[in-house]
Amino acid sequence: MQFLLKNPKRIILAILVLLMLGIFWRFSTLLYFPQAGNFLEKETLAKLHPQESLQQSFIVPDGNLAKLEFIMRSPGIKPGDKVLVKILDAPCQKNIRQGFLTDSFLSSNNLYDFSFPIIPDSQNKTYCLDITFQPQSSTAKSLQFFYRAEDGSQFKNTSTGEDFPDQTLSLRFVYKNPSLWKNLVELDQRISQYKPTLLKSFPLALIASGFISLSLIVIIFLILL
Amino acid sequence: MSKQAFIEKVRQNPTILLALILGAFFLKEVFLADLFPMFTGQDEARHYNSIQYLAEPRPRTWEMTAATDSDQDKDKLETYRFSTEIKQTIVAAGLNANRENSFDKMSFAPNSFSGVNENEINQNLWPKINQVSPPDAVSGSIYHKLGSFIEKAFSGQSILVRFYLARLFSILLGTLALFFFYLTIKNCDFSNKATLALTAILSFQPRFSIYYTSVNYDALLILAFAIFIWSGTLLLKNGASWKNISLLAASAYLGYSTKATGIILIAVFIFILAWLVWKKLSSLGKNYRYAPFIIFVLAGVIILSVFSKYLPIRNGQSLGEITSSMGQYFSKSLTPGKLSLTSRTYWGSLGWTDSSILDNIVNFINILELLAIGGLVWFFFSKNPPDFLPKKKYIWLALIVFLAMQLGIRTADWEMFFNYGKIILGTPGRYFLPVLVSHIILIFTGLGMLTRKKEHFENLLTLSAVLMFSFMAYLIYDVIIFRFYL
Repeated sequence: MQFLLKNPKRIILAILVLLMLGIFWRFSTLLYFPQAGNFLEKETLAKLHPQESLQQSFIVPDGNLAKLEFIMRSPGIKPGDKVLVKILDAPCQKNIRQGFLTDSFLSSNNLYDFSFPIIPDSQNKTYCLDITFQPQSSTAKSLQFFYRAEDGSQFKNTSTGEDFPDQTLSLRFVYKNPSLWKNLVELDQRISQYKPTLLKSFPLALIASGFISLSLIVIIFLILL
Repeated sequence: MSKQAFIEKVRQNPTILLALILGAFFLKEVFLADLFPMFTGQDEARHYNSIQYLAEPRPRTWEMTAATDSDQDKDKLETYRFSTEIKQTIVAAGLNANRENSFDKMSFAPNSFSGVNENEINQNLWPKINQVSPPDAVSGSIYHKLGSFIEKAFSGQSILVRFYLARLFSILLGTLALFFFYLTIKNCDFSNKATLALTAILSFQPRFSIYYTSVNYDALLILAFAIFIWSGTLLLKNGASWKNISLLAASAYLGYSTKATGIILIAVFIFILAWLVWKKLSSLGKNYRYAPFIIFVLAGVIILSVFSKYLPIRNGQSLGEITSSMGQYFSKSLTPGKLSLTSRTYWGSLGWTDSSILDNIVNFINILELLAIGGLVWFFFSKNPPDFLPKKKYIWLALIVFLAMQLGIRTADWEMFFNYGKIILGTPGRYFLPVLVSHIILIFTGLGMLTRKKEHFENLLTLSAVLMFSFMAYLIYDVIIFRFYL
């Protein structure tokens, strides 16, 4: 600490290092890839009252499933309340993943996440989704999930027995690669699409790293001056 | 060469670090231009269509279809009156996904660097002409005319190449604007280190950075303001000369030829001319003691006549109606909520996020601005301000340009309010970007007054550059990339 306080330049440098670590750590935690073309549509609303559960089967198109995203109607989940989400095997017997819904990063439009450790062999597998509303502190009477028409799909309220044939909850599959490098490659691929050759793939990576390196050199020079 | 010797060399000769700042800015802008999918900039499809419209072959011999209002759906960009090529590209690339919900993403092709319909777009087969009348295009801006030369020169390339070249054109204008910011600050007599740090702060200002990555005539407008403010600073530094006055006139004309907002430069130019005449007459003795009054009244009359078409007084309304409308306008537009929105959108808080981090960053900047106002008041009343700060005349110029911009934008907003009975234009922060350099000079002069010591002032500037860079990096890596790709 004494080492830092003797020289304000060192404090500024330490602030820079801490901020960069924070920004890039956050960036690394955001590297999830939503299923392409899987739009969250706001068509019809299904109410879920306290302690009630919704259950639905779903087939995952790709491997490495790591997150499910749901869209709800405002006001969504109130502070303190919990929504328990379980991913079970196809007959809805064996628990595979379990956790609670959380606000999506940047809280965009009542989007909620259920993140879990990657399921590597999820491609083309059928799972059962179970959602239970567990109000803790608020007096919320219900949550409202959006759902949309989809032939062959079905979900039901297991508490009331109400069935929703040919309907699916508005949910999105999100994947994560097993390594940071693979995540960065996939991000590079996504950014490269619909761009001219000089702005995609390797040149894009070069521009991105060039910007951050040169900017850091500028900042460090300014600190040292 | 030792580290100390090298640093001393950079301190004495700022060109090296200036080149690095301009290089980093250019790369950042290209990276940002790459990150923002096509037509996600402010009215970008309309501005690009304006360029295409000007590049169309003459005479226009093809048949036009009349558009109706019901054709247009704000969530479907292809329903707008754009060229066939723009509309087909929007559909082929699925770009509407970026317009609807902030959580929607485009339909990316898996394991590929090319989009599903990219080959179709690259075949360059769709007509680059507007076939719906009237076309949705901005008329008469020099920015679009210049852009149309690029469009014509690369007409054999796909729209992906031509569109991103148009963005590159904006980026080059931005790099030039940053260079003029540097020259302005340098001529205000800040130290080399302070000049470089202030230029770095400007180069990382998020809204300025984001704005310069899109196809928009504000790119040229901001450059025109930058040249004008630099010329004004030179005039104050070296005295009036034909070169300075010509530069002022040319940049005011450039601004006005780019966008109506440029008229503010004409008003300030008239004010500067009046000030020069007043100075000249004052030096001639007592016989001319009433001259300053006459000169400023004349200048006021000229400025008012220039602005008269932007004021709602031409329709013969009574003074009572006008003052009542003005009162209503102020009560609706100068509310804490509206001012806060202007501030958030000025500094770079992005509208499609609901992030408390971004709001808190802007709140922190607002606190610094309040402190700076206190410092500025002290600066103007101080008989001996610190010598590491600019002379008062430069700060007066920055203040006049800043206030003229505020007055101009709010007058235009009030005029619309008067005519329609509600706020139509609003005052989003981006409207005030043309005077960014003056604003930053004012803020740091105010804060510099509070620090009192050159060493503390320079450390504050360095810290501010670090924070501004971090703000920009946060927006790029944790917000913009997340919004469009994750």
